Amino acid sequence: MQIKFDQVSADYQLGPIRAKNIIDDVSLQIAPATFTAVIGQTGAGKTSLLKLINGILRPTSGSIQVGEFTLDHSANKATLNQVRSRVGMVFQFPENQLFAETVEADIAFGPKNFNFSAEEVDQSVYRSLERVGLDQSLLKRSPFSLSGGQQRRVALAGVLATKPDILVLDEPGAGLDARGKQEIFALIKKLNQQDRVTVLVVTHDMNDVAIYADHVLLLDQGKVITYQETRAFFSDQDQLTEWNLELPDTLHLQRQIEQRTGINFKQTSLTRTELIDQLIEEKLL
Amino acid sequence: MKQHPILSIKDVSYRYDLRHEDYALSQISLDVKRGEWLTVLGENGSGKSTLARLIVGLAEPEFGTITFNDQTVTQANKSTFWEKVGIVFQNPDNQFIGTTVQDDVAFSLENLNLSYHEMKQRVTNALHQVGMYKLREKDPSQLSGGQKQRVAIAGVLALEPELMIFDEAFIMLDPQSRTRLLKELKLIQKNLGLTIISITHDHNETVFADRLLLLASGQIIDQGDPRTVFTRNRYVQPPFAEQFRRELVQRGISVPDNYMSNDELVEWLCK
Repeated sequence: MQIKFDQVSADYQLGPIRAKNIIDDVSLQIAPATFTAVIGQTGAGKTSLLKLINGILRPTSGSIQVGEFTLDHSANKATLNQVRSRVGMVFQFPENQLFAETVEADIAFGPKNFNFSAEEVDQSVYRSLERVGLDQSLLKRSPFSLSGGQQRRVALAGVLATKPDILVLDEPGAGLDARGKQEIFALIKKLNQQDRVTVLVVTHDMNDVAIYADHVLLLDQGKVITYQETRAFFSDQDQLTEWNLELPDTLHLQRQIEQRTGINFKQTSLTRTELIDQLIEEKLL
Repeated sequence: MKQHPILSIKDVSYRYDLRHEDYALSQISLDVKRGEWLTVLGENGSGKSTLARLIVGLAEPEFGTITFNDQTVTQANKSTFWEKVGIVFQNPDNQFIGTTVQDDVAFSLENLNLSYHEMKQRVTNALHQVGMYKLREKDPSQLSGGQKQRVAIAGVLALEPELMIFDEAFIMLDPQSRTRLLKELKLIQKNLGLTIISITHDHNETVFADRLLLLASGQIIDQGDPRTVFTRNRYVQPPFAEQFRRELVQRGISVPDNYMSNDELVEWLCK
């Protein structure tokens, strides 16, 4: 599903406090089945951007096209509901939102809410449990008896159960150990590639950006600084320095080697495999 | 003469629920040298945070003893150690009191009977150390997660403790502020002899450690310098340079068969 922002601005209202233009005149087109990493400092508007796509936050001006639906200031409840059934949102520490007595009931909550038939609910529960790599024996367990990594998968399965075309995730790896984090990102990548789900992920970790994302969206003070393909994004050293961004580990190593040897490699390496290939090509291995 | 350890943990066991046999920690023994940087690694649920809570007296061991500067930590005397032992947790939101950043840092010093001048000096130093001096007049509630965490760390640094414990305290920080702060802490450790215990998931943070301690299911399964521990425990994710060296081995490239730091790897590749 395609997402198109057309001159979107949004304020954030928290009780009596209104933060002006947390999203500031954003125009942007995100192609279907892409994997976009959303980066930027805290307060740049990353989470707000995700919320706009899901209809949790409504624009004060401009409009967002999500597939065939249009979200603007006056979008009605029916439209919002339909958009939310197509866009799955995974918040930070989503396991804090687990509530049901069993894993099964927790995952089934979403599809029931969107009026799936009993049979469809069952199917989607099993299907999404399998998608996140959890065993069916966990269905009758209490979600609170599971480990942190398993709880996060259950939370993710609950979002997948509604069969979204778009998945927006806010720091899905935060607080997990190295292996848990890798597994979650590999899982999201698989959904993106096999099921052609459009993915937007907020992350701070440039290694995740380099390894998993095909596009990078950099935000600052509610504005889009750049939206580029990942390799092009990491290739422009001057820009990265100007934006005060850290390099992914692999690229950092490549730049160190280039500096020491005076050789300029042909490509910007995003993965270890790519860097090894280039080291061989440059006869350094 | 052998120097006494700053912290000594002997046969300590702890469980959260006395009705069950699952021990969060069982029979842990550990000495921490003055001026050492000890990094504790372990998966979720391995007992890392429990260890930190026991050291500062937030929980009491069911069996065994913990001594700090040769004095046993008990529930009765634990608060007397709190000037000497600082702890920073994962979530800074629970640790704020002041209305400005500098008030908040100063608050931790109020019980120390310092002169105004000394207090101001310490607050200023600590805020510089964490890179928050410019934002000293701000309301802590207006800060980002990473900035709040730096203020929380400044509050503990200002106490000039002998031992600092970081319980996943750096995960809210963006990678650049994290590296900057870790380097600053390394300097304080070296220059002032501060002892640091850091509990973490971040494999790249282990390059700052003098010693690594591996926990699994409440037990110490290995310890030693990072080089030794990562060589002996292949399943634990090492820092990036060593991951890269292993990938070279997998590709059938003849690489030296031992742990490599980043500098050693660059050196070897550019030879």
